[in-house]
Amino acid sequence: MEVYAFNLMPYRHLDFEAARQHRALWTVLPNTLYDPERGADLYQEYIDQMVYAASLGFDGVCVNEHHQTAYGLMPAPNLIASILIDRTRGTNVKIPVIGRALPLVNNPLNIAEEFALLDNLSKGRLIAGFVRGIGCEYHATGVNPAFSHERFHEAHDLIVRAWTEDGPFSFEGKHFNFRYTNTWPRPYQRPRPDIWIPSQGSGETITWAAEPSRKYPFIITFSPIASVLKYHMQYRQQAETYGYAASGSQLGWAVPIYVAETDEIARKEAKAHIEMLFNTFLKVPIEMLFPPGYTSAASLAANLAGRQGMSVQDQTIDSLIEKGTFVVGSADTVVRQIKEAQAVSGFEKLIMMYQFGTLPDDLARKNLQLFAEDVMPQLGRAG
Amino acid sequence: MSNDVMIVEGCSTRVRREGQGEPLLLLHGFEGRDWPEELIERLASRYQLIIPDHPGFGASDDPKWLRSIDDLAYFYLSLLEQMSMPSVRVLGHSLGGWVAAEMAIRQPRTISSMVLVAPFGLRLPGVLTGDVFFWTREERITNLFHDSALAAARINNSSTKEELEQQLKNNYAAARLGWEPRFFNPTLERWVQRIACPTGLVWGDDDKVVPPSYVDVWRQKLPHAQPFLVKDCGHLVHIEKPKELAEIAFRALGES
Repeated sequence: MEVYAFNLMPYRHLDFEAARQHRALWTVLPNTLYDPERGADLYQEYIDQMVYAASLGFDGVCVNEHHQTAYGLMPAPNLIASILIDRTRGTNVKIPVIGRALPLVNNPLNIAEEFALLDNLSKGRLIAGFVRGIGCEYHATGVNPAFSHERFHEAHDLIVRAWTEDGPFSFEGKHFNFRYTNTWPRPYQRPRPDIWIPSQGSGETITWAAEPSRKYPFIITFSPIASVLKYHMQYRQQAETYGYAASGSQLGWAVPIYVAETDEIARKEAKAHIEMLFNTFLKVPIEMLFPPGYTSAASLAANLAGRQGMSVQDQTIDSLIEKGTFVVGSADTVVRQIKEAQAVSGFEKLIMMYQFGTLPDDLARKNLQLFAEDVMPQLGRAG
Repeated sequence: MSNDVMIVEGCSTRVRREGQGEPLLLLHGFEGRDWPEELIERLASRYQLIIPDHPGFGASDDPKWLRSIDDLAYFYLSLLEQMSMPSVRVLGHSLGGWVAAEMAIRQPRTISSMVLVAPFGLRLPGVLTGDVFFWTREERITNLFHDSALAAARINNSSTKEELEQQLKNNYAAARLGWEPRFFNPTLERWVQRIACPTGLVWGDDDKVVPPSYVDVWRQKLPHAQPFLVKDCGHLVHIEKPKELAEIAFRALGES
């Protein structure tokens, strides 16, 4: 199994009492609640943690993109990736950016260029994740969510062509038109960097990602284990429909994991921080989360949301454990849960969100260390 | 009354017809067709009403070509050609008022007179329209009305699954037309003065979606337009003050 460490880089020093006066920690949370002194230290803390993870034997360290939120402090994840690339120079540690939100930019060639540059800087250690961004980010950027899918597919086609076709060539689309497409530098990897598709799961995305010319690894993020496995199996079925058998490396699970000396200690140490992630950082009114046209699941979501108008009901560590949204416990407990899930779908990519909510530096580092020492060796590592 | 289905530009379009006389086209707002019967009856006493569901809304198809307000304007010009109506009166509310203005700058002679009720389409720098896509359901309903009792009734009246799907469909179409720039067309801003027909501008004095100060932008560009401010009224003038709106329409649209 390939194992990656992932950090959203939440602003864990937030004044949560003040923050809860606002409808969400997204888009309208006043940026006066961000303290640059503490924030600057936090970036250093998180970057050092990821470099530490790289030294412990993780296959890669992942960053991602979010805008106008305390949930994740990387509006420009490639800047952080660039630092991680340099601080892991000479290793074979992968740097997955999972991902850049393609529809949110008006010139996707910027993303093609930046990724190509990172691929050169890392001598081929970049993994390029493509996402659509979450609903709030259509409010934050002004980009029309009704054209989100169109823009995603068109930007994807443009970027892949820019990486794999000899330039210059012209590109003619509905949203993007370029007379000269001629990306300097070209990517280091031939024909191109690996592409991953992180997703909360959608049939349409699976059909697209599993298509034989793509075979993109499909990474289900932060969902109950039952739906993670359901989507994995759906991907496998789709591959069969296309006439091939999907490999386990095409299937990924991104999940918060916390390991401690015993189950009891693990739950006690993780409780406040994981509940903060789900009940405060992720609590968003449905209208912000599912703007019109963003997803056909909006209908379902609206039904579920009912009167309260909130997308996420309050969760406890117990309900998160029960649903398998959060994996927590002693090394043996964590190994067992991962292996049980793996036995069902055969996924080969595990993305461990080792820092979550307000988890402090010492616990985040202990989590990484115990996972690397006591869990990783039991996961059937190819190394 | 009758409910016809017309095929216009390949789009199956639901069109309700009422009344006799010269034609009056009613163009609904971003919430979908929600004209109250009281208003329909009053207007139908003088005019032959053409009451469509916009493409993308209600019982009409959602055509692939519907991507911007221009598409809707050209669609209605095609619809009128297909109905052999070279010249009509128009009453448009909100999004529908915007469509009427877009039709009028493209083909001024097609519209003999019009009433724009709290129309979108122009920008008043520094005064934002309400963020209808950002508001929660409760906020949106509250902000549509002046009368809080009307709002409360609608909030407490839970939607059926069908109604919910209809609202999502309408919202999706509205987003394509008006998400960005938000319910505003810079081209209309540059060409709105081409509107020469008698024009009534109707605003509720407590409109929280398109604030009443927007009437000034329209009046600057259209000095001949006649403003009507409706007291104790929000964005949904047709629902909160149907009688008053009918009276205004009769004055502004001229005798049939």
